[in-house]
Amino acid sequence: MERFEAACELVGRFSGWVLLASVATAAAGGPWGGLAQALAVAGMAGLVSVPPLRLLALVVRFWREDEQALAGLAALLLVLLGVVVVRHLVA
Amino acid sequence: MLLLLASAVMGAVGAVAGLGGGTFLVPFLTLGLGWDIRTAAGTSLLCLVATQVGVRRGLRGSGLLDERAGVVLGLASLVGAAVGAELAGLVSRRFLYLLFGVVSAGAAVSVLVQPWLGSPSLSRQGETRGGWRAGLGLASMGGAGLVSGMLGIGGGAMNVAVMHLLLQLPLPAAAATSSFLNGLKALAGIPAYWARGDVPSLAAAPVVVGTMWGSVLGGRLLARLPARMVRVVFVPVVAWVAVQMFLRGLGG
Repeated sequence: MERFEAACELVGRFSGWVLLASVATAAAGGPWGGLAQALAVAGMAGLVSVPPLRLLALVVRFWREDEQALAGLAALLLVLLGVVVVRHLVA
Repeated sequence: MLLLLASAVMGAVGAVAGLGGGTFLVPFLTLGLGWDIRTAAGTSLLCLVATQVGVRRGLRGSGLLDERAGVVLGLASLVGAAVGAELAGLVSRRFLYLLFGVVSAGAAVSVLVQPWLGSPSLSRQGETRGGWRAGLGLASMGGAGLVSGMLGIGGGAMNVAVMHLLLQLPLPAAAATSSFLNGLKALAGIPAYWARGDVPSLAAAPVVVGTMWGSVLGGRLLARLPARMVRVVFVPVVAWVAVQMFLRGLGG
């Protein structure tokens, strides 16, 4: 689980660097606008993917610690987040 | 580049004041740069996720984060934030400015009363209470989530007040758990803003990076600054922000 947490942190840091690259690319201007936009979206997608991954790790940890009720609640949080995202993607 | 540096300053100021970035970032983007308040709120929610991504692992290691309370209260916060983000697209901008003014005034008061929050007479270190306190706590967290979703702020002051005074979590644990809740609220709110086109990815990128850096820097500064100085400097600033946002709301 520690490794998973470290991986989440790595994704977060990498996303931060991608966003910084997007800022630098946008500052260069000219034909790089499209790339800057793509990097910005990729960086943001990477950032927002970290908390759900950590929530997933929490579900697994609660389950292993025999805290089924809390694992269920954490899973419910994950499902609700999914519902919110899918609702807006579909709309 | 200027936006990146200015956002770093806002992130640092928010972290030093203990109010999170949104309390300063949203007024900076709206009053300072003329952004639409909904765009500023959407961008601020993204910054909130970015700063939480950085601090969460450290919090787990510190043992302060009460993940059990976080999961239970997170449910109410998440639903509140999702509804609040939807409402932000329905109510007028004027209402959002007025609400921000009221919340900023509350934040100024919370910074003022921080020393008394931690005093032994109010702080009872122990188990989270059940019964009516838990019910009221859940409802309050739902309300705090609603405000966060509408205004793009973490609402740390509200979270900590509810968890510490009502649910009687120790103050450090309440602050750490509030950080966990902020991430959830931001995640629940972002899709609605994104779908409305209120998260301008290219313009938001320097703000997000700047706030991430600023919050790290602010966290380090916080350990070195005397608490009294923080109050003396930030209470007037937050009060001024409250007045300006209120005036913008009245002026339309």
